Amino acid sequence: MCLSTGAIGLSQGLRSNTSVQVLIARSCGFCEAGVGLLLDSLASSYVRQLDLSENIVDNAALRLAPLLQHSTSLSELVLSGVRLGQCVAFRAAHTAEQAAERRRFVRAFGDNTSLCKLDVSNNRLGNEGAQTVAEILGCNQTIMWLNMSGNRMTHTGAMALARAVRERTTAYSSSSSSSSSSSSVVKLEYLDLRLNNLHAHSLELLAILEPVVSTLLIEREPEFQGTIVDGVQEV
Amino acid sequence: MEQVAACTDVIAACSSTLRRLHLSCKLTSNDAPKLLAALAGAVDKFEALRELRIFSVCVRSAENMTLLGRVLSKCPQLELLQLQSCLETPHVARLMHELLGSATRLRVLLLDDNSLEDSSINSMVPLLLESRRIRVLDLSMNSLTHTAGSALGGLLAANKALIVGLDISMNELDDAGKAQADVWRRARSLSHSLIGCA
Repeated sequence: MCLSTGAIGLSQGLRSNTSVQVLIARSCGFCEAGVGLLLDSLASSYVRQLDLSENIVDNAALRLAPLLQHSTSLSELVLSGVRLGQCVAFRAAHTAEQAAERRRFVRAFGDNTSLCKLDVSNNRLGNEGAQTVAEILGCNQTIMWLNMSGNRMTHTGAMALARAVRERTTAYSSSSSSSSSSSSVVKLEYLDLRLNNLHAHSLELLAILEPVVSTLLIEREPEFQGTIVDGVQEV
Repeated sequence: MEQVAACTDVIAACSSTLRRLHLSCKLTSNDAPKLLAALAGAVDKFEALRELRIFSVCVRSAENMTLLGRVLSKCPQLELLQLQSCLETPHVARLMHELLGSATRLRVLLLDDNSLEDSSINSMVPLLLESRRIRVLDLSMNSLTHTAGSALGGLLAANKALIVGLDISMNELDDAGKAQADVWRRARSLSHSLIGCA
């Protein structure tokens, strides 16, 4: 069991702090319990940018929910390389309790109205995790920048994401054409799908996503490029 | 030596309306005094200096720290100070004491990539609490542990309305997650290599 002595001290300070807007704590050696403490202490904060990359987050990610639901300032959340693939919210639910946890987690993103940038790269999310992110995109209206690179995703996961992005763009188009609409869906502008297992399907994904995402980063199919060098297709 | 000469030439050519000065020199503790002496000799030009960034100039000895302290005490308008890869724990407290006493407009303090240990933070926190003016503090890439984490927690708790931005990345604030994170990083980088080869 991790004692998280560093996180305890910091979280105690953050709990009564109302001024911190940017907290960058990459690679601090925090374990799941420590990250949980930090997230609890930030639940009613005014933090605008939060980066906890390269720490061990696992199921502590579930404790993001109160921050997401209450915050009107959080615009950038960076959780790169934090083992989100180990979190129940990003795995197939085998029990009713796990399914409920997953729904609560996704709903928290739906309730949030300030988040613009989400980086969940390098988390081994796989297709099940990609499905969760697709659900998040389906209910959240403000995310416009998403990094899903390095997540061991294959065609199944990428297609779930692509469908969510396409539906979101449709919702964006109809809300922007209807001046009386109260909906304010934001179009996804940036999507990074590099370092996944998508080589064989890159053209298909490109065809779906190119019209709806301004900047798409995806490895080209080797045959498409004519060499085996990893390439980046920037549309 | 050439780098020192180039930097001192630049400092000599500065006018008294200078607002921003960035010095990136990679100077050892042997060469650093020459640069610091050049700066100390030109302090009358720093009346209007708002931003000073010094990269990779070894300011680790007491003498060098005194020279730097002298320079900083003559920059009354300074709002941003970055000392990257310049410092070590001994003498930092004294430097901060001089700095926070003289640079009354200082808001952004970037002390990234030094070798600062917990004792530096323990001695800095009371000074930061007393001065109540630093709004952005970068302590990334130092050698801080949970002791510094607690001290910073105290700073955040007591200094309610001031610190807006805090970067504590790449320190070992908790040992427990460190080993796990290292294993995870290595495994991930291996799997990325395999994807690249596929």
